[in-house]
Amino acid sequence: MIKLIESVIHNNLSYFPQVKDSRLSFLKYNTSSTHGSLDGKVLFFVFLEGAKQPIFVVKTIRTYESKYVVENAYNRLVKLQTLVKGSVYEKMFPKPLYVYDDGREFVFSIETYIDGIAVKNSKKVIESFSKEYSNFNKSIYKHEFFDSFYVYAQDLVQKIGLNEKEENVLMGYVKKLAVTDFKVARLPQHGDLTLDNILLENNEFRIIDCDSFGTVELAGYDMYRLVVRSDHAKLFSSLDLYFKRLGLKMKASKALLFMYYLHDLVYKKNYILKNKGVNDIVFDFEALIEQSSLRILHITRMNYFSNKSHVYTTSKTVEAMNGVDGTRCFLVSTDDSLLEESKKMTFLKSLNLSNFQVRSLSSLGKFTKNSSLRVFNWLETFFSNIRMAFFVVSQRKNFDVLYFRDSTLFLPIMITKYIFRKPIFMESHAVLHAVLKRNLTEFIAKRSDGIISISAGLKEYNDKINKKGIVSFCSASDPVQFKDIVSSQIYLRNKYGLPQDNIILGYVGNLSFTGNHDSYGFEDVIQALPLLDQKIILVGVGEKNNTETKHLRDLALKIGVSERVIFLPRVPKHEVASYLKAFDVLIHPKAGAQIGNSPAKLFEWLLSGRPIVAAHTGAIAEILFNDINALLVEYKDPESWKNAIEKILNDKLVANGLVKGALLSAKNYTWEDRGRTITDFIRTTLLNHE
Amino acid sequence: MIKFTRKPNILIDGLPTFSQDVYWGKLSGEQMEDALDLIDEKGWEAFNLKYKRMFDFTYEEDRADWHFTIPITKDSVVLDIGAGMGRSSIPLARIAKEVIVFDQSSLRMRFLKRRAAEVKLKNISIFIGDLFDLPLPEASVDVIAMNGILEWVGKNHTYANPRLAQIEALKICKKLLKPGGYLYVGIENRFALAYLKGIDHSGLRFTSYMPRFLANWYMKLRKGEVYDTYTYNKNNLLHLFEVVGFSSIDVYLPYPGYNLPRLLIPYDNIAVLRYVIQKLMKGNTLPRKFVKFISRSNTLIKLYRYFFFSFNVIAKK
Repeated sequence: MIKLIESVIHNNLSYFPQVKDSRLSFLKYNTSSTHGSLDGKVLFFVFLEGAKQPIFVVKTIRTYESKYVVENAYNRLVKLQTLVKGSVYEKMFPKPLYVYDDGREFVFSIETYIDGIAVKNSKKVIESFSKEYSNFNKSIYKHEFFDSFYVYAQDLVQKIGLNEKEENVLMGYVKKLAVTDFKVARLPQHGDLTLDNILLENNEFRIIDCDSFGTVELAGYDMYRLVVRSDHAKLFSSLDLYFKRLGLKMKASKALLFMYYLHDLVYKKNYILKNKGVNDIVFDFEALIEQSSLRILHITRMNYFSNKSHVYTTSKTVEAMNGVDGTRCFLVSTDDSLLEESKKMTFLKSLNLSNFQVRSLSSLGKFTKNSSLRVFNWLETFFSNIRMAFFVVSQRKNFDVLYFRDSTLFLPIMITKYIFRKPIFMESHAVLHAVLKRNLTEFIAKRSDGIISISAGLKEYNDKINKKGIVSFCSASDPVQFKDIVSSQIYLRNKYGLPQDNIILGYVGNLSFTGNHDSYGFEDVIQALPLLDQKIILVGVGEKNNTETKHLRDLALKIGVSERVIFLPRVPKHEVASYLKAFDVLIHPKAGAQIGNSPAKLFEWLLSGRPIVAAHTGAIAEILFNDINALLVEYKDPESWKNAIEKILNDKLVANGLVKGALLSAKNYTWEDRGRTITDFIRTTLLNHE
Repeated sequence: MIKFTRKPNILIDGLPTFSQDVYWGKLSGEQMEDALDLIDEKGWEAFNLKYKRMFDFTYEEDRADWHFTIPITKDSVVLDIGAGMGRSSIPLARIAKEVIVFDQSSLRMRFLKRRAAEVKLKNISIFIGDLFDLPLPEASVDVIAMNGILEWVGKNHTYANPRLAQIEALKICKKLLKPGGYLYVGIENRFALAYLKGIDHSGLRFTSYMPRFLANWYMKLRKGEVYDTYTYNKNNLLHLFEVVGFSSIDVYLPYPGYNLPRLLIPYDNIAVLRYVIQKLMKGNTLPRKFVKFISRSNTLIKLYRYFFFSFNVIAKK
């Protein structure tokens, strides 16, 4: 055949320099995947006499019956060149030159040879290529969509060759992945974008083997094929970035990935389908997603059963991150209370959490944990560091990202960052007053790959240390908490021993000081009581012991309102909603009023159906808006508290308006949003992480 | 149809038999019988389940990819000598008018008969016969394929030495070819690097590297047999064909070997070989790095060719 090819080249392509008078040499080539198949392409690299590299590539086939392989490939290349003609991307691809078909036994196509060195599997190169390829895709994108994801999926599922029952089962799975239908962008894909087909020449990317161009038109398929083989942990983030670069509103989701996966099975790995049923397909896909998931290790020292709000918010955050497609988040604490398997379920159940991987580590620190002596606290921190460091070392292959909010876990954080070279992300909750701890936190913040601040004020502060950060409020409104509670105020006040005839200004949470030893500001509210009607009383739930509220009791006594101030002990998390319902107005004092004092409880309060009066601090004003979902007051001014409370009590329209506003704004603060915001940030940051 | 010069001695499983039935192979004769029974009784699916892994390359279509280098057409008659399991015969039959197959093993030919039926190729004529005693008339075929055969023909001890037997084999081929016809020979390189770590055709290490007399002496000492499986370097191999009188001879370097020729590199074009080494050989192992390094030098790359695993020779009558 090569004599025939030589003659065709001399007769038809002699306009190429030196072709007319040169003897040609032929190098036969097959890829390892197609070398033995009947319809696998056979390639010939054509060399001019003395040339160091080929001038043409000839594609042919072993039997004439498979001529469609050559023809289709040639036509697709023609289509591709039509799309890029005259653009900067024209030289990115080979050019179709000639197709020969004698109608009986010989068929072959000739295209230009593209020179270059195959790219290496380096994160930097892939990121750089992804950017270039996205720009190319953008240049040929005609803003076309497949109107229905479901219809697209149905068509694809039918191509697998399953029976009707199995097709229905598979479509059921698709609809489980995509609860609602959506549009997907239609954009011809290269179809076989692997590292082998990407070359670098003079720092410019070239793409070869375009024989499948346009066989798949589901945007993102090429990026999926490329990334799933090179750096699967970045699968979701790379696709998100690709869609963003194309200006599409699409997001990487399991549903979309399943389509890519099915395309691979139908077009590229058809042989796998021979012995596969629906269950195998789904199982294999789930395994792929599991492998491709971003694995986040969330380390902490928190006591799982301490009933503190940060245990709830941390656990809910981990749960929410696990809910994001392509993310697995594991929670590990040096608190040993979950060493027994049964305790894990008790813990998850107590906070109404779905099942995720939560783990306890046994550390020597447990012997010194609850001591009031500072030296024992240091020892606890030391032992926790050692234990967590061992854990991180042993699990180094099982996580991609380290996430923490407790900067005292210095050792495992630094090991992860500097020995294992894995990215670290810090959740920032406060600007600490203790100099040593603050310096330590800032040291780590500076070296973190990203900082998640729980308020805009805190982010502003952290930006001075490390600009790679976002804001994600530390908590969210969770309607589940209010789902099954009795809403009768009479019943609830009876249950909790609260007076039926009084108007209750209520509060549930810390009553004394923040972790930074700032006052929560309950005294501001007490000082307003003399100005209000005698029927109005103040109930604070959350007293840990008598001593911590002594100063508040003394103040109430001093100004003659001691009988109108009631302090109740801390209550379990699941009882908080009932208490809120038992009150008439919810009162939120300044809560430290420092940067970062963003009270988690406010997100629950928005759903309580009770009007809120709160101190106007920077962090609170990021969540509550005056006259919209709460009344904000100058917290040091008792008159201001009085006016706000009376405004609510005297005008039902105002009260109802605030409740409606609160319920409405609660929808903006969901755990799902928090999980997605944080994981999106991590993924985006990872794309730039070497 | 070609008219044979004599009638077969007997029929084995319906196959005309012109020589003694000799079997050798990976599977024992009994296993082969079992395999054939399995195909007949339960079909190819059952056979594949049990035996496919033992029949390496059997279903690959690329063993005869050398055919691209010569003008085989739908009018060509091809003779496949020592066809074995038909790994070349099947792909050749897809492009030629007729493929005449000879092999000394009835078991292998019975397998090929079933394979040909399975892939619905009716233009394969299967016979049991010896290369040195083929019942074919002179100038009767367009192309002859001898894949992995020439190194074994020295086992015919009627000639003074294995080289003479090989020359005789080539002479027979030349005689059977029509004028302008092509002979293809796939054979290992005597000095293949692989023989420094693996065994030679003789079943012993290093025999191909030894001078022939030493290899012979060593074989007698170790196995009580003469050394009769000669392979050659490129020049000496070419000399065999020249002695027989072929008009033009082209040599290709098949990579990784003639049984799995993913690449066919023209032997004389150093630029192509260099291109292959530098651009197409993936992987970053130490040997690869070394080969890439030496490919920068014309002298070293020429030397490197001497250690390739095997040769594909295309000789024109």
